[in-house]
Amino acid sequence: MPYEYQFRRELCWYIQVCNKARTDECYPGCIRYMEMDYLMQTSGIPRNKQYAIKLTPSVEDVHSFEFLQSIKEDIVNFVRNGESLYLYSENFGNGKTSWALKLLQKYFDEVWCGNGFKSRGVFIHVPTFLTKIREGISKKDVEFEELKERLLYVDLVVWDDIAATRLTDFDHSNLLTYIDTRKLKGLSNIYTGNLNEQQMVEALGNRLKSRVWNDSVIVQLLGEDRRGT
Amino acid sequence: MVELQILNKVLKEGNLSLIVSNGLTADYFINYKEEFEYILNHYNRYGNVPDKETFLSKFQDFSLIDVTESDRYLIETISEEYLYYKSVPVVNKIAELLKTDANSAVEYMLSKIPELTSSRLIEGVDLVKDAKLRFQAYKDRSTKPETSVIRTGFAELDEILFGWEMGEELVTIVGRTNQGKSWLLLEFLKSAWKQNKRVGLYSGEMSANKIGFRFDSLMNHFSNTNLVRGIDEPEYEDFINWLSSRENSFIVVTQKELGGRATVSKINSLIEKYELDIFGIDQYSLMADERCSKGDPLRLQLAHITEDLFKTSTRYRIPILGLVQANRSGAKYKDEEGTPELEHVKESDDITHNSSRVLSMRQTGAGLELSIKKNREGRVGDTLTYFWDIDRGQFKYIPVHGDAVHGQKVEQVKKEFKDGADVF
Repeated sequence: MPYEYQFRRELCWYIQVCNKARTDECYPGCIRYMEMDYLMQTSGIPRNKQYAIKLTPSVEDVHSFEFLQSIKEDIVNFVRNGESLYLYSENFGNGKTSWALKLLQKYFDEVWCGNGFKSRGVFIHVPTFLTKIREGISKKDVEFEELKERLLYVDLVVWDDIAATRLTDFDHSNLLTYIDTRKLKGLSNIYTGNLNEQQMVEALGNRLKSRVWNDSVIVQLLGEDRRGT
Repeated sequence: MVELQILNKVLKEGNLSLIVSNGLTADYFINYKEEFEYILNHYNRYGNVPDKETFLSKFQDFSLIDVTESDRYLIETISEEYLYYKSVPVVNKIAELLKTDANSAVEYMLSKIPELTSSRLIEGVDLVKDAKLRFQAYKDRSTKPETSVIRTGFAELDEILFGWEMGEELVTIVGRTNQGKSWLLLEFLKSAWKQNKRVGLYSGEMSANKIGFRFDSLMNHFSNTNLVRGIDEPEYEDFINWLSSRENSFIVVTQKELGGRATVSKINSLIEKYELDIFGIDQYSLMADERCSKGDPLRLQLAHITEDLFKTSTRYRIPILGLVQANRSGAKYKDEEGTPELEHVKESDDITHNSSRVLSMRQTGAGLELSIKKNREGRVGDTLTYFWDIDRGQFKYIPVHGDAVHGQKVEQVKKEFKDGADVF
């Protein structure tokens, strides 16, 4: 479905803190709601993941969290400088994806004003993305085609779960094309995954590993799975 | 006789200025066509008017006479004779058509009037002697702007365009299908109506009632969906009562009222009948070209229509706003590509050439993006963004970094939201 604006007061990201909430100015013409809604809905972040969740670090991740917090506080410059981040952990459920989303959402929070309804960031779950590309050979999905085009120009892309599955040559070539193009254009990327440097070489090959690992700030999370706790 | 007088004067004075500066052609010289063409050809070939001897050696029966009449007399007389000569077949055809169909006769007559009235004495404007008239126009613009422009209704757009000029103003609005071009045109016209202007609109597709419901939504922000479906809208009846009591008209004509597609002549009639101050056309491609010959491509027909509409604007001193569709290559979906460009105007070149201004529009996010692609009066390339609740006919300016007027308002907007907490 193409983007269609809908005002839903109860789903506003700022309802708890906005000085205009519960006043006459909380209405469909609210500039912040309109701009944020466009950024969020065109980013590919599922609706239930669009809201910030509180993240508490394990003892061993306190420093990493502090470092990620510092990136978040300076996210506009991070993106403007075309920097990239590889956030990985050999464990699952300790906040990699949540952090990546948090950074993307914070970026939206910083740039909505004066944006003028332009897509600025995209969230991609890489295994799903690659499957859809393979499916796209036989059937065209207009919305997905638009998303692929967006990958080539938006300021920031989150590549979630990169190399979580074995890549075929076709997958590899696709991923390399998108990431290479973005690097050439000086655009910013956040990758999340479970692989260390050596494992990444084996999974992605030297060339792709070089783009993802060598060109990124590396942050490792060591905490255990905290889902459901 | 006057033809003979003019040719004698040209031969005697040895220059063609009387002919050239008044736009006389061989058609004006019904009895001396060959002599006229000989003089012109001689001039083109040798760079001078033939002398009497050369001329008489070719036309031995030509009468050389003394001419003491003024140029003005000669030109007015030949123009009047020429008009008579051109009018006779038109009047005869009208008489013929009247025998069977008065409507066709009147339509034919109206279509020929511009052609007949164009053969008049050419007189220029003296920028020096008429300077005071110009100064008066300048004063009027500062003290009574409502007499020289109609505001667009969008304050930010007015900052760039000043408003629609009263005359020599054909504004073309381009957008792809289903982007809300008709709504935007109606919003411009509604704003003119609110400035107490008399408004006309030709709608090639929609019924007058549908346009009426849209007008009501734009005026008072009633839900258009509710109006169209007959769902209760509080205060609608009060609004209608108020509206009915207003003096200035908003005239809508469709193919139903016109008995077919609109022509420029029909539009001229409406402008005269209702003394309209502004006219909207939805859209050029749903008009009929009166100058069309069999086999003329659509491009040429639209060129004729827009050229004639510009003349209408000049003649009646009113702005005309018309819609045109962007072609497929102008069908932009991606937000980085912006509004359609001039080359995307369907059957492009002549329409944009004949327009004094071209605005390009598209829907984006929750809003409307409006770009100025041609502006005879000023700068081009500016873009403005508006929140647009189509159903309730509401527009609200959204400051965007680097936009045409209020990019600097961006920070001001941000400060309005005092959260005091980091949400993410």
